[in-house]
Amino acid sequence: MKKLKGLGNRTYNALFHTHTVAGIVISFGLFVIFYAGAYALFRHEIIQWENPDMRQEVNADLDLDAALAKVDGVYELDYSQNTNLRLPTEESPVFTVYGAQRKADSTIERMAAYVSPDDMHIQDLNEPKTTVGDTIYVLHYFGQIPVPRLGLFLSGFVALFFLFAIVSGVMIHWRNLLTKFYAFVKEGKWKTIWTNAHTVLGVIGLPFQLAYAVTGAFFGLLTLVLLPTVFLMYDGDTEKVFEKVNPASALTIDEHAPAYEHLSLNVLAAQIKEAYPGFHVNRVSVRNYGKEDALAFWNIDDHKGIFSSGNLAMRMKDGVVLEEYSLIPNKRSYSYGVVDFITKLHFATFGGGLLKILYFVLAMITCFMIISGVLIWRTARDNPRYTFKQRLFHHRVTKWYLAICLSMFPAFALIFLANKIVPMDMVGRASTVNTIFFLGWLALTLVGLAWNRYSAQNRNYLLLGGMLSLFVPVANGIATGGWVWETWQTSPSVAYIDLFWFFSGITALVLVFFVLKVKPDSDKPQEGQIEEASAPTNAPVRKKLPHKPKPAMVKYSRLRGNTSS
Amino acid sequence: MPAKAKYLSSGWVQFSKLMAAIFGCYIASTMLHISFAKSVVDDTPVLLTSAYSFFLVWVGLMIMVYMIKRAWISWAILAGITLIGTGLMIL
Repeated sequence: MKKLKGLGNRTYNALFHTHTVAGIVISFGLFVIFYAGAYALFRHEIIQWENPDMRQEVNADLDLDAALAKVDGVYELDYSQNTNLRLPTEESPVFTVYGAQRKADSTIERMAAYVSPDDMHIQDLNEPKTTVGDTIYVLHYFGQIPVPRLGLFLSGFVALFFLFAIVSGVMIHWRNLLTKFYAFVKEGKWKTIWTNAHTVLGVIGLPFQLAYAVTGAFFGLLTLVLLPTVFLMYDGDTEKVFEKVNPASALTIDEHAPAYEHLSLNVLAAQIKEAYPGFHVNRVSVRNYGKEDALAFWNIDDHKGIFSSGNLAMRMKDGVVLEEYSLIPNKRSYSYGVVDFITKLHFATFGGGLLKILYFVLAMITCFMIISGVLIWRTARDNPRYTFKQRLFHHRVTKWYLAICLSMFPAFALIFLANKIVPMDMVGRASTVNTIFFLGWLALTLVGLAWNRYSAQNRNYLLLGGMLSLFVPVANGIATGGWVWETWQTSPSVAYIDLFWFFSGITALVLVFFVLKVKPDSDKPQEGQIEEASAPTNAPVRKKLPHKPKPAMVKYSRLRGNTSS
Repeated sequence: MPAKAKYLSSGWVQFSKLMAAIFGCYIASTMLHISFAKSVVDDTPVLLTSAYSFFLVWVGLMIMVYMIKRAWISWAILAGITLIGTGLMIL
């Protein structure tokens, strides 16, 4: 097969070096982001699994006004602020209300609650009883870091440098892009195996990874992009920028408008359904509900395409759709489509469940790619050209890295188990579950540092994770009575989660007992090798070569350099 | 297989390149986008395109910084982009 024209010698080495450095620096964070992010794709299903109160059938006749009235009765909503009502779906079969509460000292506090569509049972989201899906979701942008927005910012930078690693990676691999694509070997030297895995999986996952690098950077670093624009172009007026994203934000309401009996949300929802057959109402947000100039914004989608969602602005007095403030599905202009496009791409909400499963697999492939990158880094440095101290350092970094990353599998099984074991009526149970998860992850990491063989780390974590996984569906059955064969019919999302853990447990144990081989000797550099390293035959790395290599030699060494890169 | 050390810059040059890659390229990407938005009639599509192109340009410039051997040339190019951008913005 034809080789593509690659980079020049100096550029190749310079980019190779930055690719390695950038990759190693972000690898920990990137692995956590992709691993937690893959599970977070199924956040709503997990929430249904973790919380028995969420296991309800979605009824066709929903009473939107009653749900809102119920929340208003409990929280005393301030309707001059945006009040959001998410409608029940199969994923999340309850109303979710996000609104503002005016406190006694006239400060405004955001509230969030679930409302069951049948008995109007309210669950406060600021003090949730259960947290697994949300903990994992927040973890995927390091939201647990107590400094506000710092985690989001860090994850944004990780995404940015991931983009850098992707572009530089493709550039250094360019020459071998075609020839090496079919070289997915699992035999030979470890360095070759890791290298082939890294490059081939990198090429396969390229579109997926590129999309996530860019969209991830968008969510994490949006402020960095907008800040100078807002100040240099709009004199610090953020409203003007929001209007460019969503025309509805140009609409204003009068806080002191008289009370008015406008059309009910239920009537208006029926109107929307008639006008847009095949579309679902995702959510409706109301402003000045119960006043004369009340507005309702309907977010609708047929979930069949990446531009198919829309936002209809409606006057509640007479149910007239204000077209110039609305985004009509599939007819929105480029400018009004961009942010939605990025959001759908990132949250994988444009292609149904199969797409999410595919994304999950691709995310796991990416995780494997990140690990193989670190192992290339270490294996390529495990030779006498490096001093014993350097090699010990490389070994420690790799060991820490593998311990943190590979222990995520048992740690995730642990948080699912903790959710079932901690009693439902315990005070502050959500933070107990989180403590168990984070301390458990820490403990699992520390235990893993005692294993000096990477293959042993891998096997032991798979063994632990596999055993814990198998307990997850059992614990769910015992704690909530929702065994797989029952939930399969009543709440499929719950059954999917149970089945996922069952199969991941079986797979892990099959790998442990029938596939994986653990090396007999330690990966830790041995003292004896120091002498080898300082032996006079091995010239120091940074010393200049005595002769300029002949052109033919350059070509040869470049070729060699590339086969192992 | 690790990159050959003789091709790599060292010490201050490396630090200078890192600063150029993070801050220099950020500022250049900002000015490139703003000046472009200022010089077209309808800036809305430009502004929204920057939601993704900003990062692509930023990373592209980063790659440029590392492809050019001397750090000061990279700095000069970045400064040039920024100055031209600022000029277009003020005009």
